[in-house]
Amino acid sequence: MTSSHAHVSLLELQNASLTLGEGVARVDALIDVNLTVTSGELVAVTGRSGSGKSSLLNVAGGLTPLSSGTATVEGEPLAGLKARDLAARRRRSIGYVFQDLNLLPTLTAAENVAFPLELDGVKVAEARAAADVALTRLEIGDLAGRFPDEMSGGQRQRVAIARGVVGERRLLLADEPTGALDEVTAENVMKLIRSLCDDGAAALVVTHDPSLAAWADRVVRLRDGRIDSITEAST
Amino acid sequence: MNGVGAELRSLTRLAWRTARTSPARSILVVALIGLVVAVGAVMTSIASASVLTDDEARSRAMGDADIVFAFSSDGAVHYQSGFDVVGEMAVPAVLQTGEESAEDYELRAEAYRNANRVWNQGFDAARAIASIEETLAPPTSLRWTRGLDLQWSDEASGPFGAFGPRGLVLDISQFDPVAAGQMVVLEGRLPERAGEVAIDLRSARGRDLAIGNARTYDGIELTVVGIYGGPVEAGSPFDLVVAEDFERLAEVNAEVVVSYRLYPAPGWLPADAADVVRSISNEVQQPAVARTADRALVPSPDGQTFDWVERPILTPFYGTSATEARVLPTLATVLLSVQIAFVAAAALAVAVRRRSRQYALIGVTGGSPGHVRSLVFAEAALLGASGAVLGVVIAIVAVRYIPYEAPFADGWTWGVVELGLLDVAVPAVIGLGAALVAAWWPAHTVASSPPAALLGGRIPSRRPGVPTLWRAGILLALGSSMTLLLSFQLENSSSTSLLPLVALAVLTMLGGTVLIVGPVLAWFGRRADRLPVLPRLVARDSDRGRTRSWVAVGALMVLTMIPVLIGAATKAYPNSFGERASELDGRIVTVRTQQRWWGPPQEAQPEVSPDVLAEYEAIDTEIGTALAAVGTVGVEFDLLELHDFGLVARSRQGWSSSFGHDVLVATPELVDAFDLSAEMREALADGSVVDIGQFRSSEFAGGDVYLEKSGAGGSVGFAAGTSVEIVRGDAYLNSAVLVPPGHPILERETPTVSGTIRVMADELTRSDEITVRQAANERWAESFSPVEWGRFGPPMDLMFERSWNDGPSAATVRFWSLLVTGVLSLLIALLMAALSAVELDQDLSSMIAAGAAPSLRRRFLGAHTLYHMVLAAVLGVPLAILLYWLATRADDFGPTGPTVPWTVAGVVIVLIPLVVAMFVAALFRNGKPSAPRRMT
Repeated sequence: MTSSHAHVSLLELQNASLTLGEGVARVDALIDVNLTVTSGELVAVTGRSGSGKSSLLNVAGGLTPLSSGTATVEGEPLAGLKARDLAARRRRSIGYVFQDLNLLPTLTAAENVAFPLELDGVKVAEARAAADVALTRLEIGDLAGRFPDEMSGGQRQRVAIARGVVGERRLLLADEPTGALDEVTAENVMKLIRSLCDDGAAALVVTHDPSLAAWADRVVRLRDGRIDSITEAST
Repeated sequence: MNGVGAELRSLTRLAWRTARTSPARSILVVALIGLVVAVGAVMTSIASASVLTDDEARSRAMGDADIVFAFSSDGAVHYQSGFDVVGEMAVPAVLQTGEESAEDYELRAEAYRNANRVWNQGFDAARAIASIEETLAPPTSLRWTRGLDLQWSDEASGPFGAFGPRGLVLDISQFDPVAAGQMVVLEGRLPERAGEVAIDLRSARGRDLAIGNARTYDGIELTVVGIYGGPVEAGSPFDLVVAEDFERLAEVNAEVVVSYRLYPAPGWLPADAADVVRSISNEVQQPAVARTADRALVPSPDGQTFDWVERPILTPFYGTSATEARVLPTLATVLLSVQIAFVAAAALAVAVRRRSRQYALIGVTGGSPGHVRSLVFAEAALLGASGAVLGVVIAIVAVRYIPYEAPFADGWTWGVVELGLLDVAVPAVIGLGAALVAAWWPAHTVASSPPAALLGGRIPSRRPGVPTLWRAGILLALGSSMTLLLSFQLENSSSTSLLPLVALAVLTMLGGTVLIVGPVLAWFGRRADRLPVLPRLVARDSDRGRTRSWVAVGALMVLTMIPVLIGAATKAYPNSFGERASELDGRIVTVRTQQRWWGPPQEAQPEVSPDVLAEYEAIDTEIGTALAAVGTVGVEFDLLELHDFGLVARSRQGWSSSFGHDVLVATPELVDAFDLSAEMREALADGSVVDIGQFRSSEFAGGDVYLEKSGAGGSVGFAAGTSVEIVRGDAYLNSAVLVPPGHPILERETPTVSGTIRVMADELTRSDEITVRQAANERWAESFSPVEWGRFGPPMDLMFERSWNDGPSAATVRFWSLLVTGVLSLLIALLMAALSAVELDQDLSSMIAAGAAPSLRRRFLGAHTLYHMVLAAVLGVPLAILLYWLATRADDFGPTGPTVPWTVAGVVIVLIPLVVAMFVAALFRNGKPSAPRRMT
């Protein structure tokens, strides 16, 4: 299921460890995680609750700094970056999709998608055009003017995915993106992500659903913060 | 990358839409900011209107232009000084009385019409002359021609060199009183030859002069050939003093020297005019006159208009310039804004907390902390701007309906209130600033929270640590040090100029105390283990939602101090010239009068024998009765009653170049009646006569009597019990009588005054005073011939369309201030309770769903509210005590402590919390439990 594009490393975690809390509340959320995600690749992350899946996404997106090890996005180490630079890296390289409540309720679909571009100083018209392209690419161009509460769950996830890949963003981090969707819609969303990866993007998707993990090129299984196994998809 | 335009636009759009998703909170913030802006704009406008001019330079010139010379190169001489310059000398309605014949009435009316014309023409002349800059320079000499020619120069060494520009000139050369019809010859004819004079009716009757009588005055032989009448405010061509009167009265003192108003024959006086010139020179050289001026004619900058400029009635409070007058309202606006900002901050904090997920999304989609911060600020700015617009609209509407004299202002009047650009702009900026200040903490909190934490729908709470306590300690130490230093300084200088520093010290201490709130909440929260479940929940929640609680306690803490603040402020509040209203426990009677005495300089004669006093009293009775007839209530009291019940306070009236001496006579009864200082008591012992000119205000600091000096002349005020303010040297008497409750004067029966005094003391309303005066006017109208208006002038309340000497009493100020405070307190408490209820609803629902009784909701919220308010009171009271102590140290605040309405303070501090707690409990009594959405 890999694409024909040249494989470029978009995300690289080396000996990534994350410790949360202090004292008796101290938890090793990630321990020596090594993972590389290249363009065109869809990587699924599975594991039980508390295994570190969400922490892995947070670390990958620079939302949480590593306790040790390195995280690199598009060749740039995230460690040492100021909050403002981290934010800039996110809006230019990384897209997030969550299980629900992905969109700003006061913005339309197009505005939600264009939002990171506008934050980056792109003119409103240009950002809107790029958003339209992204929405059209995900076959929801006709929803551009709708507000989140005027769309179905599947449509909202598509908009969130469109925002995740708008402009030059190529790394999509998704935390249970289909968790709140019915089976058919979930299937469509995964298909969409797969399609984006085939077009050169990369996705790191946290999921509990083994059937959805089947869309991935690799399935990383976490246990107690460590990578328990990495399963390559059958070609 | 195309710059920040798109970014800003995007954030602004998002902020606007976000604000709309929380309409209740947004409307609350907009309304609060609107309130601040509207109140600030209206207050500033009123202050500006009180100044009567926006032109600071003119306002200041007003204070400097002390004497208005109306001179004629070939005619009569008029000069007006003090507040009785010719302004507002609109000829009153000429009413025909019952006993007046149509002929007399027409005669009188014509005289007034002519007088009015004269003054109007005089204004025209003055306008032209006053536009010449040199005319504003100090006069250095006087030269008599026909009338008076004032020589002006710019020499700084002139009589007024030390005071700068002093006078304004009215050229009324062409307005000979006779030619202008100002004088009405009642008997005889006008003088035609040297040695002939016409004499006004008052002088003639007062001295039993008739046509054909000849008198020698100071070596000048005069033969009366005519008796004339005319409006007293039109002035007299000349006033000469009768020698025998001089001699007789000199034993008492010189202030009540009744002069003759004479009209000499044209061309006659030059050889003998030296006396006149001398007396005028004395006047000119008398800085006391200059210092007592309260009105002046000031030319407009373009010289085309000619305005009356009054020393603003708020001058003692606000200062003399428009800019300074705006300071206090602006300061009040800032303080109100701070208070409002507390509430707005709480509202925004709750809103931000409930939107934490949205801010997380902004973060994960690439929004930086700066973006998040900007978003919150943008929302606050939009709300603030909306509030500012709302406030301006309210202010525009409000100023259209502001009465000339507000009913609650107790006689405090102002001019036409106009909303100037500055009046609007400053409060609008302050209001906007308040909104941004309110947003600072929520913005900082959410922006500094990691997106990962916000994704979980929570904003991490930081415990206030050592740095917070350090900051609080530093602020408290700083504020305390300032307070200590100020307390020393206040004993030795005018506190008015130190008020900003006092305010800064108090605010500094307040800031330090507010900082303590957080650690206190945290401390209680951590140590609530052994408390019963309800107070434990309250303490824990207040710790967890510390921002909200911090704001609530801080805001309410400020409110607990306000009663003392008001007490301190009204302590220094000058509701009238030279008075300290609060020292009278709110019993204030302000009596005004204006009567002129014309007289030459005299030496002071402080020694008074009982016989002379008796004679003097008889004279006063005559004058007082007459003055009472024209409704000048205060002068009756001043001249008669004070002496009658033990105090005689007099100023040396007239043109005395020696400045005279105020003579104070006190009886043991008086001394016992008031809590006088030891020094004053000694000075007044056994009814001795004291030259109070020797005292200075600082010497009276220890008692209830103070002496207010102004210039070389000055005024005398007895702040406790009786205040008689006497403006010396300008031939006007201005009295203010303050009567404490229960004073013997209220029980006395004297024919002309006591009834009036009692009425005023009992009712203490301006309307009653006016009624009394109107009644006096009616009595006068019934008992005097109309032509004698020329002697006594028209009823004073007709002359004084504007009562400049009034002010709301301290009691009025306290009542309204505390009423506003109480309402504000209640409002804040309710808002805080409502915000708490909104934020805690989920938690409470969860608890009830988990098995707690439904009554938990109301019990919890009631206890929650009570906890905040009690904590606020506990923290605020020490600060209030410190402020109280500070206020007692201020000399200008008066020797005693501020009059704090403790009862009302108790209501604010104790009763309101109870009311609010009960209200909140009742409000949520019927709240139904809902399914828990999030256990916290």
